[in-house]
Amino acid sequence: MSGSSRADGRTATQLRPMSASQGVLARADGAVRFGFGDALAICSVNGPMEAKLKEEQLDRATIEVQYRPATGVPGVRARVMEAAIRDIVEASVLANHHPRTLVQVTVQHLNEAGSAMATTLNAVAMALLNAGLPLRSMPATTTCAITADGELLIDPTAEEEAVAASIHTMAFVQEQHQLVYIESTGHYTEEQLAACHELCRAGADKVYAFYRVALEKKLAEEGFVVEAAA
Amino acid sequence: MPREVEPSTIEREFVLAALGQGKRVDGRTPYDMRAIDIQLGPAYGLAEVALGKTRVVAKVAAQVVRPYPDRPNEGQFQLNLELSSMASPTIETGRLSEEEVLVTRVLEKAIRQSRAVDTESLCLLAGEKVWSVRVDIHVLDHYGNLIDCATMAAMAALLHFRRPDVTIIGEDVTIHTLEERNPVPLSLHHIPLCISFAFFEQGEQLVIDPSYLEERLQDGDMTVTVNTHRELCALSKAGGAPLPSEQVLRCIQLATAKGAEITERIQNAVRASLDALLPGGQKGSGGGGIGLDR
Repeated sequence: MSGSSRADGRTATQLRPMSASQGVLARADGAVRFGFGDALAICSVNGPMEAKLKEEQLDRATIEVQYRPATGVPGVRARVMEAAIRDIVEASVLANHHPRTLVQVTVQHLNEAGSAMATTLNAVAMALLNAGLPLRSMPATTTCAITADGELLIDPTAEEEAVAASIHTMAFVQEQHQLVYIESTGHYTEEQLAACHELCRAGADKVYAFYRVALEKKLAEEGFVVEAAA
Repeated sequence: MPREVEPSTIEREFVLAALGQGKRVDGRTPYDMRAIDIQLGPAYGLAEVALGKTRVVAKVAAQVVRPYPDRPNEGQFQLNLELSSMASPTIETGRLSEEEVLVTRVLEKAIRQSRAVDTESLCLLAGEKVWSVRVDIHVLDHYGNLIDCATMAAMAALLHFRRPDVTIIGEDVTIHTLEERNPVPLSLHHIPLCISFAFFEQGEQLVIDPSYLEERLQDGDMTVTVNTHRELCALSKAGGAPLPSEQVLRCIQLATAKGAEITERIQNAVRASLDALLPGGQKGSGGGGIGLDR
């Protein structure tokens, strides 16, 4: 895994340029459009708000997740992604601060161009923050693909994913680098997984730095003075 | 799922009193539409249109399928619109709301039944292979007048879409990748656009492009579908206050003028985006907003 460049000119350890627009929807409490290059997803968060009687939980907020693909009706893959998103949201949100309420998380994929799960989860994390929900932690997610030659590529494009031997998506929380989510498909060895873990963790740090810059920029626009990072 | 709060009496009276003086709560005159913003790309056939705060994304996709046995020479064209809780927290997912049915119905009439897409040109091999073109319309923000915004997004996406080029030799169909050959546009017969009106005071007062608040206070509504050839493609009025016929004619005239304006905006946006997307041009960047390397 030397510095061999990829079809789009990146090195093996380079993420695509990230983009984020915060507070983009008028009716949602929080909404963020997040992108890794051309891979784009938008997430809206509503709540805590009134829950239906049968959905109400006495000690915590109910979390409702909806994932919608860019093309076609939601199918099995959408259900799987919803389950993963719900797990991560439940791990991040301090749901016991708002008992008997509902938190609604809706993700709409806008353009599929590889690293779908990472794009989605980063949009969700930023939207939770944008909605002002009390959070325990904020997950940062990256995807890593292993090619047939054993080369590790971070943030693969759809073309790279199509020919990859295995694909690994990992989410980490904050600077402690704790792994909160992992999904792997394909054939790979233990050593390869460990190497992927290293690479994804380094990627997550970059995503974190991006979260920070994006938030600081937004706060500055709103007139808050942001102190330098400790 | 919170229930929608009805507009209060004071809101109702304020909106109606303002209309009586020819003014609207958001500062427009009765014949002004909200600001239109059209964003296209980064992929072919992806359009995001904002009409004021109402925001809709349309995405076109095409695949090769076997044609219906009774229409061997025709490609397939599908419109799909679903409202999710992203559009408004009061929308329950999975349950078909009345609004969703109405909007879908008007869109079908405006785009599919007016034959905007030339389905015969989508045929590759009669009885064997045709293109199936699908438009997915995602409502991101529901701030009133979904129909107009959704049609604009759908038409912009269809104009922007490029399908892969194909070579047909005898029975062999080769689909070329975007790298091999420049992709080709869809053949469209015309560009239908919907313009909606809301009526107040038993059809006496009229406003174009109603906002969410106005939609909920209106006595009736009407949607006029027009194209640039000054043709009327569809007219939808589902109940509401009865209208004097002069009002209907006035709406059609207004819609024709607005339709021509919007068509030009869409065409310019599509042209600008395609120039940037085509080989040799600079590829458009991601979603906008804050951009940061790595």
